[in-house]
Amino acid sequence: MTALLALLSRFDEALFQVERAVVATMLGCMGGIVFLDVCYRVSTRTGSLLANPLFVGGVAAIVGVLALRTRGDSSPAGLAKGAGIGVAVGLGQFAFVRLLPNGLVWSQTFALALTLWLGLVGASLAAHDGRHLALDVGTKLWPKDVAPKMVAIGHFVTAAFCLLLCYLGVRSTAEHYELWQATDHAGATLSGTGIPTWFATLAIPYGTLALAFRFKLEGIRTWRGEVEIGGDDTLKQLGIAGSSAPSTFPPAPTESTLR
Amino acid sequence: MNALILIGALLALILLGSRLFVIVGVATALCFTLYTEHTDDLLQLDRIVTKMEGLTNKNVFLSIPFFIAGGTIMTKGGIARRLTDLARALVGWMPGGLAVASIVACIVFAAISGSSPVTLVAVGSVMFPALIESGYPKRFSIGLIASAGSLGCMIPPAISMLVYAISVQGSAAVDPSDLFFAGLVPALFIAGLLAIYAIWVGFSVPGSREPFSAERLWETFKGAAWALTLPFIVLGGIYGGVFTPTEAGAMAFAAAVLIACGIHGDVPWRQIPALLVEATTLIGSLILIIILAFGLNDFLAEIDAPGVIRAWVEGANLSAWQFMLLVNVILIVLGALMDSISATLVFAPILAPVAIQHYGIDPIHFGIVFVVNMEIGYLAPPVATNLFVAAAVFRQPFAEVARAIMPTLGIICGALVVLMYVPSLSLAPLHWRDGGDLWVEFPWNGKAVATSAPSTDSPAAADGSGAGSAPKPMTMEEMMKKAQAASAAADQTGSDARPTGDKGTVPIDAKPLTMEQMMLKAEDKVAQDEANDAAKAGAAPPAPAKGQLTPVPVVFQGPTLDELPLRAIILGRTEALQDCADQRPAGHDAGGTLALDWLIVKGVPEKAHVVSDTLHDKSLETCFLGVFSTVRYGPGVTVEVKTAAWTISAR
Repeated sequence: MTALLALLSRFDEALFQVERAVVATMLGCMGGIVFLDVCYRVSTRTGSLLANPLFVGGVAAIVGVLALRTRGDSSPAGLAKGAGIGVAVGLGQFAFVRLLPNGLVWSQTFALALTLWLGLVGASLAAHDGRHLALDVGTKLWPKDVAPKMVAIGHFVTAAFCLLLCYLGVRSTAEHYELWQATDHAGATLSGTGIPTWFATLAIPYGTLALAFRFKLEGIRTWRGEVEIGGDDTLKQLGIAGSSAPSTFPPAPTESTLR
Repeated sequence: MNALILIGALLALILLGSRLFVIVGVATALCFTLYTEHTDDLLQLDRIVTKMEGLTNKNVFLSIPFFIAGGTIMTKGGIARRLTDLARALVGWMPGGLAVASIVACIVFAAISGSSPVTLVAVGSVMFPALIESGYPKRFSIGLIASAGSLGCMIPPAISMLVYAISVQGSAAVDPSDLFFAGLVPALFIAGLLAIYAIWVGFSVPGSREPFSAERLWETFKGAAWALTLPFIVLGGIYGGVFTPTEAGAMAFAAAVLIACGIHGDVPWRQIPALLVEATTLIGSLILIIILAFGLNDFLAEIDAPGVIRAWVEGANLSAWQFMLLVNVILIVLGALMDSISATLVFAPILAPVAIQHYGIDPIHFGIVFVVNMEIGYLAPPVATNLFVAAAVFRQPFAEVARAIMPTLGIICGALVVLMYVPSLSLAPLHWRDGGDLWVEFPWNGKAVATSAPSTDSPAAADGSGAGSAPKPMTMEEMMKKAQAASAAADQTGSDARPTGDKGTVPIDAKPLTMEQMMLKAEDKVAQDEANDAAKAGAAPPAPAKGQLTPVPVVFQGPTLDELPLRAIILGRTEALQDCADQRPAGHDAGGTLALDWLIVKGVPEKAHVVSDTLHDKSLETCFLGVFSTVRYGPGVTVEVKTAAWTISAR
């Protein structure tokens, strides 16, 4: 049993690392394409100053110089770098509008499809990190020796619920797939993207299966007494434990230091 | 008996320490199983998954991951320190200056991070030691920072406002950008009251003032200037018509990366993937609660919970002010027992229709009151998120934090009463923007209040969120009810045909068509239409064949080549959807399949772009929104929707 648990734990960690890579890529892509779509739309607006590459390049150059000064680079080379940024942005805008005559009209649909994946894989990551919000009021009512068993049962119930969702998700995804097949891949697609709907909805069975696996594993560990029960993990659940607030507070200036 | 099963199951889950999403999900599943028909199969539970899939239709939802990611990146840098330094230099010279600076820092940081607990942690961990060091009472310091931190849910871009806008879509078109704008004055009002309290306390604290220095103010401003641009980018972009609230999220995300990594260099580029994972984990912990709560909303809509409440308030003869007072008491209690997002998702769709449609309370005003209640929920024990956070950050017992919060909680409750009965505080900025009256009286007699209609070409409208109480498309539920009522009426008169609006009739016993049949029929229909078009050039469209829906021409002609605004999409699809809904057999309110649709674009100029000309989808809403949202149109372009066949899937 211990060996099996160790194997499952290793699989859990490997899956965790893959999921981390996937969600970071997804979120980065989502932000990037929607950002570019906005840039495109602004850049093609008739009569708008922002549609003029010269103006945009000039603004980018000024922002670039100010940004470099903020970083402590006030040298003539910094000015040149700023001008270079301006030229690059201006040229980039000019080329972008011409290379993509229709922009990225599909960007938000695509990003929404990824949101489903992002959310469900994120839920899986949150299960790994114990970040799902829980009402732990009930477990505090149990005697100390019973509480771990109750929490473990709670995890098993959660896993069972996730498996039910997984089953429903498989049914639904299969329907999308059948419709997509029946229409020779013309139907059941995300509009404007050509991506089959089943690809987006596949996130539901995957995410819920991963959740079920993790809660089941956590349940077994808790049952075996390998997980400590109790303690205030509010910050952890909110994802702000170890937040980057500065540890050293700058002393308030006194009248003498200001003078 | 059913109620006992439901309550028993939920109690058991609470005793087992189950995750919140399981509690919401099980409640949804049990409600559908116990209180609706078809309890013998999983058909009703399928709705939960349908709701999850429906996430891909909610454009506004897209902004939530972006804002969370942007906030996460900005929070990791030294923004909190820069902002608190600036706030101290700006208002530290006043009596109670350090305390007022804490409030100012909380407001600005909340505008950047979009999260109350994160604001409390970031600003609180800097300012709390400083307040104690300067001689402020400990309880006052805890209470003030915890309260000011909770203002985050009112400062744009506030996730709670986005969630409210999404939640009430069925009863009113609420534009998140309008909510953002409307929330500014109430947030400043509450912050002002807290500042007055801080100044009053500051008079009795000898070391509460710092000398003013213009040089220091300038230096700290230079340090914080880039961070300060973020709220201006978000709000300026939205109100300047540059982008929609959804797109604002992506812009904030991009700006956060640029400022934190490229300009300040606080966050190394290589740390970005880890921060994106951090943000995703936070999104993941919320998303299941949100989408499962959507399922619960579906159930509440099916049992007509708003109608039940409306009937109850009519029976109780409650006036508008009594209703609002009752709502606030309920929300404060709920906010104290549930987390704010869950409470908004579950109760906003129930209460908003009654407030808006029965009492004529403006949906934006109601939203602001709702959000302030949720802010109080962050502070009201026992499930007071910010109090738990404060207890952890300040390393104080929870009971001590709960006691410390009472004075400021009282101030916020007092502010809530004012905000509730003076709608001008939230609506005046919108009316000022739209050129309307600044004074808006509370609808004491319950009569409808006129609100400004949105401009259809605004980006906010294009985001599909609408504003105020603009001409509102019917919701799916309303259309279903109308269709069912019409069907029932037809049954009563003994008719053998279902009413189909003014488009003819369709036999009730019409056998559902197979996909192939529908495809053939649809192709015939297109061929027939094209032949008619060619023959009659400009004449009225031909009469539809019996058993088929009438083509619904929707014409959009823009002054310039542009994307089709979503507002126009909604107005356009109302008519189209109405046709489908009217012809749908009663009882088949879910699982329907719109078999085939066309999008025909005529007179497309060179630059116009049609991404998809055919689309098949299970969801009406997806289908129509999907089709239209991919069109770029311009002068002389005619977009025509043709709905050829409607059937009910066999699942």
